[in-house]
Amino acid sequence: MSESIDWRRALVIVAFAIAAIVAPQVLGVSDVNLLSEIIYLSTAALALALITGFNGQISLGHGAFVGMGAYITMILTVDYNVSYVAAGLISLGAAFVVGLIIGLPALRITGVYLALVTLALATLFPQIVNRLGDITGGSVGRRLVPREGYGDWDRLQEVGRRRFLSTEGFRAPDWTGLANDQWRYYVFLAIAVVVFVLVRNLTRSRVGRGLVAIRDNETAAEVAGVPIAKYKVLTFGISAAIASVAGWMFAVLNNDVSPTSFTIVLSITLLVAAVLGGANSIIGPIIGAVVIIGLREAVPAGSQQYTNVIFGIALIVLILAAPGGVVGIYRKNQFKRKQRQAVRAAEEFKAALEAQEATVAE
Amino acid sequence: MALLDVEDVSVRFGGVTALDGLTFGIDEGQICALIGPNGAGKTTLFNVISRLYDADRGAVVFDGRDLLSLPPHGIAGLGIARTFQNLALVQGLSVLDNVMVGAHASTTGGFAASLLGLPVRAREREGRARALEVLERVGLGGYAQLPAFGLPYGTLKRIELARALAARPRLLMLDEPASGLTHSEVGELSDMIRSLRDEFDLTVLLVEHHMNMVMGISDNVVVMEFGQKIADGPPAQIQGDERVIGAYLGGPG
Ligand SMILES: Nc1ncnc2c1ncn2[C@@H]1O[C@H](COP(=O)(O)OP(=O)(O)O)[C@@H](O)[C@H]1O
Ligand SMILES: [Mg+2]
Repeated sequence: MSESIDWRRALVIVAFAIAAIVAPQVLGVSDVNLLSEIIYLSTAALALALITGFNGQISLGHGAFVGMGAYITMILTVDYNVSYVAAGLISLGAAFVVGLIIGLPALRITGVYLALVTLALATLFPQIVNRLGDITGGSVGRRLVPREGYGDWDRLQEVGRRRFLSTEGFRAPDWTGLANDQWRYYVFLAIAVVVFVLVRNLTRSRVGRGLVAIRDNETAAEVAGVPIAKYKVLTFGISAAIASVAGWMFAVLNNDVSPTSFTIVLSITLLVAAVLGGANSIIGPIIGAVVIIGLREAVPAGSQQYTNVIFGIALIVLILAAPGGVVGIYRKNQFKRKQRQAVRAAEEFKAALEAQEATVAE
Repeated sequence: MALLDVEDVSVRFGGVTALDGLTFGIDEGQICALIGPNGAGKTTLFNVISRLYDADRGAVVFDGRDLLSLPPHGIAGLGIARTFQNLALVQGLSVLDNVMVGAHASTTGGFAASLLGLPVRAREREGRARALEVLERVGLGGYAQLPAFGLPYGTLKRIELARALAARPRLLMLDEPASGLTHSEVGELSDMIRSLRDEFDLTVLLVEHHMNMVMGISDNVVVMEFGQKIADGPPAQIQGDERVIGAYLGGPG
């Protein structure tokens, strides 16, 4: 039954795929960049959906992992002439390891306490950046372009061109015939598709069921043979790695990395994005990211400071009213329908049985 | 030789001695019932075997292996599965996925393979088919896609039974599987436990208060009181044991 193709679903996916591919051809630069930002935020929110939604480890510190990805990318590409691809992979590896290290003490704390500890991580991150001002640029931040005075300017320009690094940042290679913003969008889209497919695979596997079992009933998981500690720590590492991929996107998109972008506000925004859409789903983070960026665009300039308040209130209301988010509401309705069907089937079966018994008795 | 040997096991919670030098064994293929008044320590013994509780003293040996040196998640892999007196289902998963969680230890596929998806597809299909078979076997074939909550109590208990069976266990531990069931359901369950034992070559450790069921299907009965064993033998002998009648069978269950 579940193996057969769901045509309506397939149609929706194909339509979305076509729209996603065509969009940058028909939209202006600022809209294309807005779509790129949605992809960035979706990816970051997915990291949170995995750790908090599927595995039940509440993290209020994922902004720090996003920031880590952005800073490592910026420093490696600008100061060390590392290519964007290599910088992304290195930051991914680094975030994975840091995620594992932070995941270890997280084994001993759960629920609200874990939220508080990860909150500390989020508040600490900008301070660490400021402390390391020599390489991070301190509170002002740095741009993702080779700076004069940093080594041989001409050589950097030359190397930068070869590695898609230019004064415009992430530059489209000539063979594509694309504008820089279009190229960047397609690269983000490709990366996000890969990340989302990997996470989807994970959640639908033996391991994914183990993660949900840990979230809902640790005893049941343990008795079934799920190694709780190993699963939790590895999930923390993978989630941090995904957040760092989003951080790479941030650096590439904004060409500018500064500590104000990675404060507790980002961590909370990610949680809102994940919870809003439905943290226990793969589509949820995308819905959340679209709503959050749409909301920000809808709020008139000058009253932006209120959006954080709105997010905060939205988060509380959501957790109270619809813990499963948008996807949760949809699923609940589906479940209810199936349950009604099953109960009806059972009743019909019972009635048939009784009718049969009655005829036998006669 | 016994498949499971409980040797002089003691567990204390503060001032309460839940198990007090408990010793008994279960032979392979037997249905062994563990009975005794509430608070006798039956569930505590299950939790010691599952490694959820630490024993203060004693040993538990399964098929020649010392269980008490293993981590909790290492028990299922040896072929020990159980149900819980107070349900322990994963509410966020469907009935089918709950049963598949039960097969965790008897299947393979780690993080890397799961992320990449492809190498595990075939195995996943196989596991799904097997889980469906088990659900059919306990009469819940039509429930596979439902969430594992909001269903009748007896159904939830049977999902737990299916989950335990999915582990392909050698030892199946059932903690009050008949509690909350109707009279006819209890009869059905008794028949099912017997036939499952024969079909899957199980050894069963059964905690139950329904005396008709216990006396009807057990090969051996262990009677507990205050964490100690007060009698041990075939049902006919236990039913005639004066101490047991005094402590348990005579009184209101
Ligand atoms: N986790 C625990 N903490 C404290 N006391 C416990 C715990 N588990 C069981 N006990 C106590 O141990 C005794 C045996 O309980 P239990 O094994 O549940 O009995 P039974 O299953 O035979 O009804 C009871 O006195 C109970 O209160
Ligand atoms: Mg009990």
